[in-house]
Amino acid sequence: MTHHSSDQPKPSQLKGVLRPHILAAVIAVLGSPLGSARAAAQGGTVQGRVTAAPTGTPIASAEISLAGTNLGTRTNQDGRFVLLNVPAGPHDLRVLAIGYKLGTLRLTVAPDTVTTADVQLTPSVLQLDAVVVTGTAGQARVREVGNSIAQVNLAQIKDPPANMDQLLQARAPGLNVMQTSGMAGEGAQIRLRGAVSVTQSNQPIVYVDGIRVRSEGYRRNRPPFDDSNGFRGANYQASPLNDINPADVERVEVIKGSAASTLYGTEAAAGVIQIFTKRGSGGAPKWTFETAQGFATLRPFGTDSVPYLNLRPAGAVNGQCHETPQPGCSWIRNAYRQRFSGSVAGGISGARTFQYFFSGTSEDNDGVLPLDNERKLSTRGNVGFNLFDDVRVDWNTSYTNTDLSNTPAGNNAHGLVLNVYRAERNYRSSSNPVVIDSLLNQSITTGIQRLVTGGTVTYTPLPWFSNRVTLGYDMAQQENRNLRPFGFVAAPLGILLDEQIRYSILTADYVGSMDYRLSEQLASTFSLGGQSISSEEVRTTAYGEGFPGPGLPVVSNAALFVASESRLRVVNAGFFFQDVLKFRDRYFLTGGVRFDGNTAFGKTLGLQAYPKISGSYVMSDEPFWPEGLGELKLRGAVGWSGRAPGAFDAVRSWKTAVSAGQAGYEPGSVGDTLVGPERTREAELGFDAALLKNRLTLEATWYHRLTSDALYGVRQIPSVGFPQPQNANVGSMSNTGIELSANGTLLNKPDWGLDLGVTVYTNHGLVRDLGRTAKGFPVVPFAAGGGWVEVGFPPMAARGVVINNPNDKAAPDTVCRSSCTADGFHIFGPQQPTLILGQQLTLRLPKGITLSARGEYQGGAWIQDGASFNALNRSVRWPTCARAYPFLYPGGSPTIDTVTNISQLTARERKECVPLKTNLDTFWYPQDFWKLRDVTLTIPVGWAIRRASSATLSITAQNYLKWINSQLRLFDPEMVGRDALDSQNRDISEHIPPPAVITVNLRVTF
Amino acid sequence: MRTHFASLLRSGPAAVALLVAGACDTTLTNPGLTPDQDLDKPGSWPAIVIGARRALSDAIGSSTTPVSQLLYWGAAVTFEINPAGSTGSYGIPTDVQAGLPTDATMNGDWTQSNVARYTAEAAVARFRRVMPDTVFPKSPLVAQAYLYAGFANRLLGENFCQSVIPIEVPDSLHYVLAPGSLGSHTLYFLRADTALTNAIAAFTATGKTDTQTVNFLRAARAGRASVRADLASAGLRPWSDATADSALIPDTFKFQVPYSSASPDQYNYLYWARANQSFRAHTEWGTFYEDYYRRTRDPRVRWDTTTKSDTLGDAAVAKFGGRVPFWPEAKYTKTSDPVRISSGWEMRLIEAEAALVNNDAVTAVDKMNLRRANLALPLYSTAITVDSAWSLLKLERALELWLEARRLGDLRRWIANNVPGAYTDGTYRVSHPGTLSPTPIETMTAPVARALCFPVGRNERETNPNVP
Repeated sequence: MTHHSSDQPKPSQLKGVLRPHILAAVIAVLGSPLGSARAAAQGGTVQGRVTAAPTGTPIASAEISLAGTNLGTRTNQDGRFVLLNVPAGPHDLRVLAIGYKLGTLRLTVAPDTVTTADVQLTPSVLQLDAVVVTGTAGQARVREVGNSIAQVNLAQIKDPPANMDQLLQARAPGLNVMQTSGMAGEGAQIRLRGAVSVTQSNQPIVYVDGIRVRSEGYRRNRPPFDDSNGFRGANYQASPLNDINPADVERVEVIKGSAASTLYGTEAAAGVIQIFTKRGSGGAPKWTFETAQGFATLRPFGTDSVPYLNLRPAGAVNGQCHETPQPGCSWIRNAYRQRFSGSVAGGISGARTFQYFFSGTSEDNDGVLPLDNERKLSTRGNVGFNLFDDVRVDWNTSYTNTDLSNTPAGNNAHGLVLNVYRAERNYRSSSNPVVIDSLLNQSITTGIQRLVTGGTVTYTPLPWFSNRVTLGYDMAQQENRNLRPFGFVAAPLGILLDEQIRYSILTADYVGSMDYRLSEQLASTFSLGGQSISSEEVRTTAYGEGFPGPGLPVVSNAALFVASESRLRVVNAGFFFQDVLKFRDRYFLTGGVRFDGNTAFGKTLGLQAYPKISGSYVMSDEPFWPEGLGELKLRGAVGWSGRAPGAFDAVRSWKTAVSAGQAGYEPGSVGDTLVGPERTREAELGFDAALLKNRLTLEATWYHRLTSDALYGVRQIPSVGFPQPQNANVGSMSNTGIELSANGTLLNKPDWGLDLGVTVYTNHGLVRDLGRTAKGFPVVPFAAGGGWVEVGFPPMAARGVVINNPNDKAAPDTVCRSSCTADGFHIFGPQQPTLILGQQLTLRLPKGITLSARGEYQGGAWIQDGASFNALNRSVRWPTCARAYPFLYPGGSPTIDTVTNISQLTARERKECVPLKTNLDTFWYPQDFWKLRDVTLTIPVGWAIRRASSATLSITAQNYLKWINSQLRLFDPEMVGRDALDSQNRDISEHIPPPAVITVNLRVTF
Repeated sequence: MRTHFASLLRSGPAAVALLVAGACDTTLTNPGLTPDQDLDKPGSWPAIVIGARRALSDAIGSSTTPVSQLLYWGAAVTFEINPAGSTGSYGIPTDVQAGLPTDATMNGDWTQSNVARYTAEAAVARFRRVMPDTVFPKSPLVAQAYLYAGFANRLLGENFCQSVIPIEVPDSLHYVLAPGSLGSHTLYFLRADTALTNAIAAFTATGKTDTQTVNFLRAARAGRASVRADLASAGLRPWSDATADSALIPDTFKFQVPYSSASPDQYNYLYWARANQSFRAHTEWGTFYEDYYRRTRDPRVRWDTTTKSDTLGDAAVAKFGGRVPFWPEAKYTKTSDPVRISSGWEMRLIEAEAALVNNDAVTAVDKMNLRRANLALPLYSTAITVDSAWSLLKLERALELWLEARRLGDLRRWIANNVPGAYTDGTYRVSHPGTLSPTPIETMTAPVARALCFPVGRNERETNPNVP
């Protein structure tokens, strides 16, 4: 923040001034009546227009603010703004708009007069003066920030995203959003710079308007008993992120690791996603209505002979199996999707400025499977107002109701997809659609109600001193209901599960910032703050089986019903200090430290400290920098953050085990009284540049992340009694990689333009040390999350048996000769991609029409095809073995003959196609793929709608084209289901891949 | 008014600052798990013993985790059942179907069996530490803990190829164990013998004569008799020690571990795997018992002949190249059916075997006929050779202890000792659905040797520095 020198102490006064400043700050923050002395004075009016230089085009939605006050507004479509009741006196007017440099104007306001302030903004692509909040104590300009921050501005997105996962997907290097199946309601796995933990969640934490909200996936709709496998549901996880309506979002800031997330403390090692929703602007209400109509369609994912693996394509001549089950019918459909939304934004300018944004959205999305449907209703109300000159209040509330219906799928013996895939060798012994359709006589429904409410009070008693208090509450109520009714073919007496889960997070946060000038050229911002995040999950489950007869049951109708309950509360609290030194407004040095306590820490551990330091240098602001060369900012940062252990990890405990109606104790957790957070240190170096008259922007970052005290699930020696692995702070792991982003304007004519962009992201993980157990024994390599953890290999690596001669007609050579584990297995590679390439293209056409496309390649990772293994080792006739079957079953013999024609089989066929020889360890395949994430045609149609200030019609196709490494002969790497949001492994189960989605979207603004 | 309101508002940051400070107290206790020290309290003691019983049930085979299926998979390896579908959930993995389970497959079984042993032995150690010295020697809870420790050790000894016995480290506050080394499986029998001897002493010391205590005492004696028979087979005790105990057990006595229909994690796993909801994972089709039961209707090896002939197992079976008829065992017909771990009839067979070791075929057959008479089955002739009597004994133990996680131990000790007689149940008749082959394609010993015990679990090998 820039301050006029007249408000600041002179350097010579520094010693004498600092102390009173701090004293005044303390008095102010404690609510002294002194602070109320500033009563609202009679003010004037400031009005003006913001335009772009040199074209004079009006700039809409530019942020107008008066430095050192809470006064502010936004420009309307004509670039005009009005500020009422501005206190008389000199002011610095600040104007900030996306794509332009900061504009400042010194003006003097007189009482009861109108002051005109027209501002022209100079284009800038680096946005060095834009304000960001993520990773900083309060707010900071981009130029001050020493780490990489990815920003996604909705105004710049051409394709209207259907949900938050799509909004984030392929938007920034280092931000990996992987879909996990094609089920309605399915969430995506999000990883920022790869995996940071073996045992703890790797989903980044999420804030909405400063309020911490749930980021872990919702609990899967399945029975509470670990081995009730036959009663699984749809086998996927919904993501709380998708409760947020993307149409309400203004921008998203993503910080990818500890170098920037230090001030978030113990929970932030996997990164932070900050979402900012829309606010109103001054002036008349702006109404926006939007509708999206479209359909989802499954693209081929099988072999040439069975491209849909017995599901058969939608539109099969024999119709839909669920409607008219007959041979040749299709189990999938082109699924209709529709969304209606509306919003109104506006406000009152002036000293008592008031802004509002209200919205409502209704969605009804069918899935491609017969029972899949998602209905969502969301509303939002954001209001902000200046209660006094120096007190601003922002209060945001959203409510979302989601109703999901799903088709039983995944690895589920009662599931549709598994039984269709396996045809006549399925659990129903039949490929007859009538028989399989009987499995759909079950109901898997999930209801989620989500309320996020909270507010921020910003109190600026002095121009150089601000206080921000945030209180927030995120509450989600989930009901999983899973019914096999009386008469269900695979459970004739019926089964019902009903599970109620309440998730809540309470945020209390305070940040105080003091700006002071140490000399003419050296300024500083000191911040301190405290934060408490209290999260709770309360789950009660009722399960019943055996109903007396048909009808809609409740659990208590069952002959047997049981209940279970779990309650888990975790409190993380800490405080921090940060100071930003600013020299000549182009050299910036930031240092800070956060101290944290957490419920899960061992009793002897105390507070944990996470320091950070970062620096940035805006070289292009130097006098020697040629004017025409563009802009350049160099940056570097190093910081620490953590990930807390599990709530019970510190305690040696016993679990309840019932025997013949009597409760007893069995060994639970062996406990580690010294357990603490795993600490992740991340260093990054990079630059941001805009060259060639801003026609080329470059961002480059190198990062290195080292997790020490890594929490590994140390296996216990079974003969010593406690069977469960114990999380312990042993060993370390690292990630190293680069992030590059280049965007260029190849053609820039008034009516034509062509922009191209590429991003490159690499990530190479390495387990560096496994450490030793508390008893002094070295931790041995172990399996975690479906992967393998051993020194010298990527964490959660793909470990199995390599077939060195897969295509030779010879005996399989499975000797491991390279990348071998200590126990002789082969490490294929990591399960998270090591290389992601993004491609973007925007073609501007006359009359404002644009055509944009985004593609994404992911490579370097391996995936296990559990669905094929599960089928092949059950003697299911599987398309990948079609060539081998005539040799194994000569003349159509029902008896396998592994001798006569064995010479005709390749090594891989011998390992995979002879049922008794199959071994899951050989079913690893490269998961390299490229997908056309979206292609969008945008057409302005405001001329066609009377009284509309603007209207846009867009047609989008998402994920319609794809390429997948041919070694993965079936399926799609983005179909893993289960608890895929939280886990690290990639394991294909009996799911469907994410469908392509075609949408026509119309947005009209009045 | 405004000034008051403004003051109030401006006090907000201070209030929130205090709130944040207050919230910094991160000390809280979540409900659900019980801290170790709470088990020292007398109110917890009965539940400690219940836990030991539950752990034993789980080790034999319940639907809890970590999954242990010694009964189920042992039955598959010894041809008591045939696979009929699933290889994963509630199914029989292909390596178990092939008769040679890997240490990875058996990991859960090894772990849970050790949990059963540990839970009971840790209970004894805790009781010794926290009970008054005058109470410990005659406490029924101590006696029961010894009892379950004995049976857990027997389970390990009869099913696993080797032993790993941890070493107790003296500690006044906790039960501390150091990892042990690989040893003979017979070490488990010795440990079981000691535990059951202590159980007998403690039950006797209670001075109680109620039915429950008498039954516990008989269970301890019957268990010790079976363990001493195992030890006698290994040459570590005389057979007379086993028969001294067995003689005290009446024919109809039985001791069982419970399962429950009250919760799906307490089900009898063997039953649930074939309960047709939706698993039909094993069958009697193709086993010795399929034909034997058709002929004799011996109720000890009952299978469900009422199942529709066209009902097939729940998935294709790799071993058989397709689907097989679903003719499930019917010894267990409910999720709550208990599993017998000791009985008077087993005692008679121990006495029969002891007689055969002494080449006394007549006494042996007489002992076997006691049970057959009880079941109204045709009696065996006593006019047979000792070798023939051995064959009958092998058959009778197969029938009497069918699906009780005992067969593997019997086969191992007999084959190790090269005892006379044939293994009529040790053949595996399989072919394609509907055309049952009369010719065995596999036996216990030929053409491919099948496992006669389960390997030590992989986790043990990978975590215990003393186990290669």
